Amino acid sequence: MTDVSSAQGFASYEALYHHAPCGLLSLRAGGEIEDVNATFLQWTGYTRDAVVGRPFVSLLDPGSQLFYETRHTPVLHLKGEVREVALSIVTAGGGRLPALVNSTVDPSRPDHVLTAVFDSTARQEYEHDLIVARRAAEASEVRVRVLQSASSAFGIAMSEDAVGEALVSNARDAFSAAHVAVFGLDAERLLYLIAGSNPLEKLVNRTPRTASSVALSTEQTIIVSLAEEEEFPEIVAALRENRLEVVTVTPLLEDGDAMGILVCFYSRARVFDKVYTDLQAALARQAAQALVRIKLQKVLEQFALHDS
Amino acid sequence: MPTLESTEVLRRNNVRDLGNPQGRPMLFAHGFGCNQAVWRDVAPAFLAEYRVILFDHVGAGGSDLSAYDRGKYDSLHGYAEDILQIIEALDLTEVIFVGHSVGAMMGVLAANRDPSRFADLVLVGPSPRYVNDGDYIGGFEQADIDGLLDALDANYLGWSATMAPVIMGNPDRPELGQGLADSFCSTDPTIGRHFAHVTFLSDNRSDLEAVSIPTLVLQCTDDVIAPDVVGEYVHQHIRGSTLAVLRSTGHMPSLSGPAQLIDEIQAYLR
Repeated sequence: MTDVSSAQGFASYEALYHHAPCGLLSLRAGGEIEDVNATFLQWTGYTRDAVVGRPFVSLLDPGSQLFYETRHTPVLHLKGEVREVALSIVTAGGGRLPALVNSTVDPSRPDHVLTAVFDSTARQEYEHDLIVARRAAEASEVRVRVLQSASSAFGIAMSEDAVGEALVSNARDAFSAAHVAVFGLDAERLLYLIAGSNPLEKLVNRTPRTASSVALSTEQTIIVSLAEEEEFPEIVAALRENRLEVVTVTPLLEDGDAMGILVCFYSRARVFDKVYTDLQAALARQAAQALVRIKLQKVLEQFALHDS
Repeated sequence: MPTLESTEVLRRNNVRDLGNPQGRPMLFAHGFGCNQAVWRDVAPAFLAEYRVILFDHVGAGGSDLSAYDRGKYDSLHGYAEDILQIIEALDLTEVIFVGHSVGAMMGVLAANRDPSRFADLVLVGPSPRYVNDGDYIGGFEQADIDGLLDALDANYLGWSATMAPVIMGNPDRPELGQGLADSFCSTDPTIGRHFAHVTFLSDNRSDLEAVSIPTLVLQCTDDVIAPDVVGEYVHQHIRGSTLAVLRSTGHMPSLSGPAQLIDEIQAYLR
């Protein structure tokens, strides 16, 4: 590459373009790759012919495609440039090249885009660890916040209603539930609503085999989703009617005694992981303890009344 | 549901009521990842003839973030409820609903709940379910959605700060004014992640059959988010719907090919 510029002692534009320490691409209006430099081809293992004419987004892994189309593209259009977007490029060998991408609208051809790709492999592991740590910290923060807020509310609660209200608001907040209801058990072991709203009201206590009776007899959380139509046909029909997809029923247990149930209604199916079930169990236990305390207080008050 | 004051609804959703007050109302709903700014190049074409209503979903743009109730917005029904409240607050009838991406499905749910308010649905790049399921092709696997959540988190590590409120003048279209583009596409990371879950993990296929409003499905070319088969699926499952294919590529025709998008909508409404 001996030309005028190198003879004069500085790199030619062509050498700078092809051997720049970053991948460089120009994209047409539709996002197809118009041109690409040698560094990008070397990093990704593609030949020029394999990528020119292909949409740049098609070189990304699916998660990055979703991000690119829903975040990168609108910002680029509206703002004219995007900086330091973390994307994952699928290489010719099927591997992944973690990259930071800058894009800018070509000043001389406004419907074209100029893109620079920086290899961020070395940072990837560190950043991944950061993300994992942050997610764990956030999950633990939610857990601590919910349990603290619930336990202080339960601590000052002087009535069953107050315990119920505190359980409803904390459960809604913690689990993104559309509705939460808390039920107590009366002397005949029948359920009655303490707090919250129950969109499946007509069903409680009427169907022979309800999720609540199963939860109380097995002392386990029962999860009924639309898939459980065979086992709980009435509940599933009522869920559909109320635009709900899942209901969970958790017994409020203290020393093996059921004090009631916590019912959470969800408008979208989800995976109930261990973080979720543990937090739900902890909340239910705290509420049950508060209900036992209030019951005992009532009994003592009765005694005091008769003594005098 | 508690009744809200009209002004409170309009403020909560950052509603902008523009265009011809005597015209038929057109309500534009944005999709995941942005806000009403995505209609910047489309809405002006309708201002002379139609009453044009733009808004941000709660959690996006200039909406009231304190109104973000995770239980309510855990499914698209919460957003559909807001759309009906906006219609109620402005007392709109014969609404032409234009929804992009997940915003399109919110419109489907709203129209199914109260069809009496709607005249037409225009669904731009709709998908009732993004994750493949048996014979159904949505275009993505569950692992891909996890990849998006990773990408969102990775980008929030350092990027969101630079994406935070950006002022973008729009001198050619003073009627759209400032504010429209302020803080576009910046979101609270926790809300962004939850909205990603709700958008990409919802399954609203069964809601398509219930649509009773005349519907135009606009499919983009080479749209990785909502591929051709998905547009075809939506068209097949909404009785009597019309399918039109846009030449513009990608998932953002309102930005990448606004002229053709405008033409198709106008041709359909004539």
